[in-house]
Formats: sequence, C-alpha cells, structure tokens
Amino acid sequence: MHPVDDIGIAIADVYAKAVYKLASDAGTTAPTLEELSGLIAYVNSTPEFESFLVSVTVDSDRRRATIEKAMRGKASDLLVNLVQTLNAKSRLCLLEQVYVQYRLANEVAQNQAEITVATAVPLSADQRGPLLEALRKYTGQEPILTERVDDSLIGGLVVYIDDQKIDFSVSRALGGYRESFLRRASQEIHGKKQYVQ
Amino acid sequence: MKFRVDEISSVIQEEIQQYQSGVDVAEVGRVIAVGDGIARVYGLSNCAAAELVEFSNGELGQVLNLEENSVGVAILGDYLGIREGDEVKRTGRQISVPVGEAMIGRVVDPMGRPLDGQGVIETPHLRPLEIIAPGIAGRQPVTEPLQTGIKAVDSMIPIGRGQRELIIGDRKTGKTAIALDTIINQKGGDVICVYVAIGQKESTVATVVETLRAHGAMDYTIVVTASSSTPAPLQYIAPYAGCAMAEYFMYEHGLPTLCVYDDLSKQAAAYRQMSLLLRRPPGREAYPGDVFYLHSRLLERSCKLAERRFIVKKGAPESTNEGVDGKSYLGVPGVHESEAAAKKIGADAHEVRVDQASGGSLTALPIIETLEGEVSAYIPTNVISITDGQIYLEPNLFFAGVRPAVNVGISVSRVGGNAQRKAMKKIAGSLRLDLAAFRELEAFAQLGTDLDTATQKQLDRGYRMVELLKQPQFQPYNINDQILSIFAGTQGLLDSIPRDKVLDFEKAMLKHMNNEHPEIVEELDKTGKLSDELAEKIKTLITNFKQTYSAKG
Repeated sequence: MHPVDDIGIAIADVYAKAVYKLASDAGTTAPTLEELSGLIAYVNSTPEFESFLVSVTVDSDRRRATIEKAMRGKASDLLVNLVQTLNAKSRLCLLEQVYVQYRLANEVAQNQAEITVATAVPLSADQRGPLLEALRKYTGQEPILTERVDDSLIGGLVVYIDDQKIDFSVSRALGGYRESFLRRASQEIHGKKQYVQ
Repeated sequence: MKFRVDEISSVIQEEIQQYQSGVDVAEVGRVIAVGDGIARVYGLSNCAAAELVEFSNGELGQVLNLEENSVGVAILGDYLGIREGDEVKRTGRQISVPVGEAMIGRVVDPMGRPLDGQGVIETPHLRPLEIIAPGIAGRQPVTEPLQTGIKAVDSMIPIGRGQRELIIGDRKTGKTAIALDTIINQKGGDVICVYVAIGQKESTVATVVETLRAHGAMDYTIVVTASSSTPAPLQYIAPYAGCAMAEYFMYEHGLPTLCVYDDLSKQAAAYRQMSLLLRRPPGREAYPGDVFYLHSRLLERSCKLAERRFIVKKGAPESTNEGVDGKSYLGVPGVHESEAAAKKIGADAHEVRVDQASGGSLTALPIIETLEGEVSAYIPTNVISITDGQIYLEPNLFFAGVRPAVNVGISVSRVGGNAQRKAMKKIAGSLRLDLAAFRELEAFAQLGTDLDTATQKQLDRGYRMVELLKQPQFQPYNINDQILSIFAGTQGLLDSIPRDKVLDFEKAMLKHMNNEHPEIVEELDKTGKLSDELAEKIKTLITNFKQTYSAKG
C-alpha cells in the first residue's frame, strides 16, 4: 500500500484505537492483531486484491458485497466490520496504517517495546538471552526484538529503541579514530609540522 | 624525500592509546523523502526547531518544520548524496559559525568553510547563526558617520555607524559598486567589513574579491559567498552567517563593523523555494507568510551598541573592567548616572572609564534588485520599511552617464543626518532639494521655451552640481575633499567653469588645496565644523585658484 502522510497516520490512529477498545472489551486483542497481521500480509502479497481494495474505479457497494461474501464467517466479525467501515468511508487505503497503529496501541498496553538490533554476524542463542535481559532492564519494557545482520558494522552491535540509537559497533570506533587522526593532521599541517626529511 | 615513519607510527600509537571509545547514544530518524535541498525525516521526535542534524553521509541540515510524525529538514550542502532510508542524527545544538580574527581576509561559505584555497581556518571562536537583536537599553543613537567616500552619498544621504541603509535599483545600475566603494573607503580605519554574496555568479564574486584585494581591502574584510549554484538552504543562511561574523567584532571588541548583503531579493527567493518545498502555504508573490520576519530579524541585528561605563580608582590599570561600586552604567543615561556616582564616591580619587569592548556598531547595507524599477513589489517594500533609508539607483541616470546613478529625489537617510559632519551638513543641507528642483526645471527647459536669467542660472548651477557629483568607481573621496568640492559647487564657484571641465577643475583644485593650503584641511579635521571665517577663506582661495586655472586654459 502507498505511504501515508501525517494526516493519514492521525486518521488511522482513530480507527485503530476504536478497534482496540472493542477487541479489549471482548478480550480478543491478541487474536485480532494476528488476524490483522495475516490480512495485511495477504494484501501485500496479492497486488490484485490490493487494487480491488483501494481502486476508485471499483464501486463501493460491489466491494462491500464482495468483502461480505469473501470474509464473513472466515474472519472475526470485528475484522470484517472494520474493513466494511473503512470501505464505507473510502478509507481502505489506510488499512495497513490501521494495523500499524493497532500494533503500537497493543504494545503500549502490554508494556512492550519494539527494538531492532543490528549485528555484523547473526546473534547466537547464548548472546540473545543476556541481550534481552539487558534491554528489559534498560527500557523497563518487554522487548520485541527484530534482528538485522549488517556486515559493515565489522563487530559489536547497534540497538535501536524508538528514535534512540545506541552504537557499540567496531565501525563507529574506527570512524572515531579516523576523525581524530584527521583533526590532528589538519592541526599539524597548519602548524607546518614536517613528516618528511 | 624520506618519510619519518617512526614518528608517524608513534603518533598513531599515541592516538589509539588516548582514544576513548565509549558508547554512542544518539537520537536518530530516517529519511523518508529527499529532493531539491529538502529532506523529510521520520522520527527525531524530541528535536527542536532550527536544530542542527547530521545525515549519515556527513552533511548537515537544519530542522525547519516540526510535524506530527516527521520533520522537514533543509540540507546545508550537497543533497544528491542523501538517499531514502538514510539515518539522520540529532546534534542537540543550533547552527554556529566560526568567527574571529582568523576569518579576516578569507573567502568562506555560509558555514565558515574556506573557499579560497588558503588552508584551514583555525579559530577557537564560534557564534550562533541566529540571535535575538539587542533591546532598547543595549543600544544608543546613531551619531558617528560611516563615510562611503562617495560624494553623492556622504553629502545627501549620509550613513551613520549602526544604520541600515538599503541600496535598491534595477540590474546593472551600480548597486554593488556603491557597496564596494564603501568597503574600500574604510582602508586605514578601524571598520571590519563583511561582504555577503547571495545567489550571485561565481565569476562575479571572484571579480569582487579581486577588486577588494587589489585595493588592499581584504586586509579588513571577510567575504561570505553562497553563489547561485549553492543549494537554497545555504543561500538562506548566508546573511545570518555574515552578520554573526561581524557581530563577533562588535560584541567582543567594541569595533565598528559594516555588513553588505548582496542581495536580499535572492535570499528571499531561496527562502521561497525552501518554504514551497516544505509545503508551507504561499502568500503574496508565492513568498511564505514569514518573509518579512526573515529580513526584519536580520536587519534588526544592526545597531550601535550602548557604551558601558564604570567607576575606577584614578590610575587603575588599563585592564580593569569592573567598577569599584560593582556597577556598570549603560548608554546615554549611564553618562550622567556614572558621573553622579563618581562624585558621590569621591571625584578626586575616582574616574569614569568606558569599557573598550562596548560601543561597537554594525552598519548594514542590504541590497535589493528591482524589476523594471518596481519598488512597490513585495520584497522591496518590506525591506524599505525595515531599513533606515534607501539609496535608489536609476537606470536612466546610469545610461545618461550620471554615475553613481543616485536618484536624490527618492533616496533618503532617516537617521544619518545626526551622524553627518557638521561642516558637510552646513554646506549640503539644501543640496538634495536643490537637485530635485533642478531635475524638474531641466525637464521644463527641454521644451525649448525662453528662460529668464535667474532660471538659466539655476539650471547652470544644477548642471555643474550633477557633473560634480559624478565619481569614477573605486576612487573614494576623503571627507575633507568632499567638503571642499561640494562647497565650491553650492557657492557658485564653478558656475563659470565649462560643464565638461568641472571634474578636471575639481581635481586640480583639490590638489592645490591639499598641497598649498594644508591648514584648511587640518582645521576641518580638527573642528569638524565650517565657521564663517573658514568658509570665507576657502571661498577666496578657490576664487584665486580659479583665476590661475582659467589662465592656464
């Protein structure tokens, strides 16, 4: 689906919070999240279905009938009703963003934090355990870890928590050396220091 | 040639040993869109307006728009190396530029990076790009003249130290020439000059630098350039950078400074480009709503700072800058207060001293280019209303050979009159009005009607005054020479000189006066006034010289 601007995010957030409240009242926050995640994965893997949902050339009544036929009974009523409401309000293009906002609302409610860890080589189980423990302690939240391998780091790791980046990588340390050499060289060249005989 | 490998190796070893590799914790965001010098960045939720951010390729940016989930960043450098998904790091600081004595004589970009190939600039001083201008208490009235060396300006549109005088006119009317002449005229004085070139051709800037260098003006001048090939954000910050560089000398050393912004219409165009790309709503002529504030906050930083006085024991060392009563007295009210306080403490043993680092000034010469003489366009009217007067240059005069092509009718200096030398004020008081009247009369005379003797005389005087005010580029006149020339003109001493010989006569007359009668110049210098006796003496001397000149033919 297309990227969403700030206004789109704000609108999607309203829908997501409403759905989350209903799911929470019914005690189905986790299954709804799973259903939503499955639906988004299907939409993203099936361009025809995505076009069907967002195309302005498809009549909204026909789309409503098709959604009803295809989804009712196969997914929870809450999810089908959400899709139908979005269709009625011509907001189906925000479906993926509604899922993102729902997921974030769920994380806040569950005291979870999405954390990305980049390493030069894949983390072993022995490393992952203490890392999760350390992150739990640091954030005070339950980490939902996403691992990424980036060999340009050379060694060490980089942790991303929200907007925060904590860099323990070897490449950063080497960059620091480079900068300090350049600074010194610039000062010494300016001071006319000779390294040649 | 042999490299001293051991020494290089030991340096590297030392650096490695000393390097503190701690954990780097930073707040980062990601580029979601980039183009035309503007990046939209997701994240950076805690960053402040106007904060400096760093892109992963090392380029810097300034945060301009804070939105709900993203920020709009103006990229201060090459934006072509920035890609979607790149990391952007907060720096937690506002933009600062290097300032100080090391900048003098250099050509730099708006970030203070050298462009003249003369090596790195080593200066320990930095100043923020944007500061709030001093308030009323921190200022004092403009009373000292800033001589431009241009007869037409110093006589009729005098500029004072701390004044903001707009130079406005169409393209190719000599706007930059007036600014350059003013800079060149500061040679031998204590004024530090900053020339800011915005959106100009690199070749033009190179010519300006060479001109300044050839006249020895680079010894006290800093050139800040953001040429037309520079991204819009750098053109936008260039005047602020130049202003910050001048402010260092004004605030830290109490020196008079001069800042030329050449030109602000191009800066406004660069700001319009950025604002439209940042999706700010366009207003009149598609400029954003805050385009007035863009210029007002810059020009408001020009000022004559109040002098700080304090009471010290008589004979206290020069380095003393604290008062015995722990107080300092600011500005004009401070003069009386400090004197009264000194009397109270004991006038015999104490004296009032002025802080040498106070009382600096920043004179601004903003330049605006008009299109087809349209002074009522948006940006010209804005800047006219902000400044303390304007020098209006007219293409018609320029092509008629009247250079500098100053239209004296609509040029004005609102505060410079107080700063003008008494002698000049006395002789040139009515010059502006007389010349404006002459222009009207000249138009009437072209109809070919017979004129009475008085009118013809007035016309002849006018023609000679116009000739007298013509001045070649880069040849600034000393103020005393200007006084003698204008005096000769206004007193009708040139009426009998043929029009095409006026400048020739003036040259010879000034040479004669400077060589044969230096006491006149000395007295003008000493008193600054033109007493009736002195005026009579000058008149006699010029009349006598005229006879010799006429005899020589």
